[in-house]
Amino acid sequence: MRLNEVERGDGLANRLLIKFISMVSGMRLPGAARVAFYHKDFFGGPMGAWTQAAMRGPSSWSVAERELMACMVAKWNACAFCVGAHGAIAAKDMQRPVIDEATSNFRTAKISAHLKSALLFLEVMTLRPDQLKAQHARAALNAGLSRQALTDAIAVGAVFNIVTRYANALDFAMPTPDEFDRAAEMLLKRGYGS
Amino acid sequence: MEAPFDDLARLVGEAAHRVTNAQVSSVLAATGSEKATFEIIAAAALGAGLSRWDRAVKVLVEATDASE
Repeated sequence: MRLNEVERGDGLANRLLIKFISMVSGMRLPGAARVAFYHKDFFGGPMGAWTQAAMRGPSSWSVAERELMACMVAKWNACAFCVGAHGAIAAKDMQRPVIDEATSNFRTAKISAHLKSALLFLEVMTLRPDQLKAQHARAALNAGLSRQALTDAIAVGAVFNIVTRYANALDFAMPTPDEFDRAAEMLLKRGYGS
Repeated sequence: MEAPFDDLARLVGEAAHRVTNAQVSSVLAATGSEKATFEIIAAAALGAGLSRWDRAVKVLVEATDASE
């Protein structure tokens, strides 16, 4: 974490809260959670609400499918922290080997055709947004995605194009696989809102 | 914006995985404020995400308008 105040918490209440959660959970509170507490009115509050809506709101996509989308955006943006965090959550429902296959080559992974078509769109949106065109949307719709399903995927893509950037810029410390697994349980129970 | 703010904001948008300790420290030194440094990072990240949202929604509307 490159900013000490984000690491420790701003204000006595948040510092105590971070220490308490770390103590109770038996693990260092991940950087993403520290950002969620920090400068809340400016960023953490609204960002948490948007992330919760995109990742846990009503959608034809399952929670695991949206977590895999987040994991893939993280991979495209070279954010190892988010690949680990969201891959771990997706793996709670989808199988770990499938997640690993997808991060290696989603085009050949054993995921649904719908999810593949969403990822094809999100890949261009993430890596080459200036080249994103109506034909990319048409391809996803022709593959059977509803307009709403593609919109929901776009929301996940937008959120994680933001999250991965601040995660990388702040250089979040990397949890261990066991810590990612425990954090995944917490995120599945609590979600992203505050 | 002036460098170092400009350099950091641009890199957060284009390739945040290449941001360095020195770049963040440089902005921190220039602003004297962790919150201000965080705000630059957050704003640059938001810009990159929201511009993608905007583009994606536009192409989806274009694709569905053309088919209706």
